Amino acid sequence: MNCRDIADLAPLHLSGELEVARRAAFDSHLSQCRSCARQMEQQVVMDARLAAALAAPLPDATALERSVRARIARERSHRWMFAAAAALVLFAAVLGYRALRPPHLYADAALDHRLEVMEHQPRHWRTDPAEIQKLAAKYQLQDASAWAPAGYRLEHAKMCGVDGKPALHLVYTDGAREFSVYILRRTGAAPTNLHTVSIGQEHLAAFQTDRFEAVIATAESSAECLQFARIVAGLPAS
Amino acid sequence: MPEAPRLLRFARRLTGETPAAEDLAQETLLKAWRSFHQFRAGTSAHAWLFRILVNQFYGQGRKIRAAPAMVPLEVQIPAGASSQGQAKLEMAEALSALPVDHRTVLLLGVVEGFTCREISEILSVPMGTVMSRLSRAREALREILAPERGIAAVARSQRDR
Repeated sequence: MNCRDIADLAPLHLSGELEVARRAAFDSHLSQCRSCARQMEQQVVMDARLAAALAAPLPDATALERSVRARIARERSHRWMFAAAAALVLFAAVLGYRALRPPHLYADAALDHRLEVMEHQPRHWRTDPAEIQKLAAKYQLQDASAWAPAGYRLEHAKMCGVDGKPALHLVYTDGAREFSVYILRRTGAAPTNLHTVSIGQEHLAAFQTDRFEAVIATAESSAECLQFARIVAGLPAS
Repeated sequence: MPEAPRLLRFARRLTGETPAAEDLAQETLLKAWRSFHQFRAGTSAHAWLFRILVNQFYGQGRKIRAAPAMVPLEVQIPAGASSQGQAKLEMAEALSALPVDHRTVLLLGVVEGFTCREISEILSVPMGTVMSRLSRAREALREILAPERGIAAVARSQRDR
């Protein structure tokens, strides 16, 4: 090791980071070189003076800690409030969406009526009244054909699926106009009053009794749909 | 917050005992709390905190950094100052005459007792840079404290930044 190496490695020597072998070589040079030894000695003294002058005493950080804790507490509560507000907005959005979107049940029923009744896509319909009544009995319907309003008759029926649930699809006609009635097992929700909705060209009305849920679909008009539904529901015509 | 007093001391020495020191230490502790997930277990929490402080200090940029190089430190010395108080004033003044990079390595290495490797992590600079900065800072400080050579040392120290 020469004087140049000593100058370069001095910081590592002073911080105690020189590994054993290099430390020995460093010390061996110092023992032979008066100039380097004096430099190092002065440096050690100056480091000690610097540390003694500036290290002690440690300042009192109580006030600092107090204000940091206060700010942390504030930030925490803000975070919590922000999270709560975000959750509330999301909740409202979900509720709004659910309230506004046409329920899948009605959308499915509308589409089903359009394809199977209006466009007469080929389906395996049952026309035998006894067979139809056997299906209707599963939904605790006394007499499906008796629902037909004056001038209408039960044309045919079959089992189908709407909104992923099995349903009995009954079709009533007066020769020109056609109405679909879908009967589903009740969902467990409280019985609901008659309500109507229009999806595309289809008008729908629905209600739920303590035994089943009924959805009525037609392409005629909203008023006629409601009129038909009132008869099915056993309500006096309006 | 066991590190708070040391951070505050370092912030005061670094900023030249200005009110900015309190803000610097406070922001450091807050930032550490916010980004604690970035702290890697097994590394020195100590060095991590000082690294945040140094980054804050350099990040604040011109406002603090440009001013202090030649501004004398205001070190409170009680009436009838002892020789120890005198030494403290002398040291603080000498330190304030150094460029901020040199002051930073001296404070970290000599006053706070970090190793060269830790300083290189705190400042995000290579080991070799830390070592040469430390050597130059020590030389400059020594020459400032030996008055007849002080001006030359400051000039050289400024030039070397």
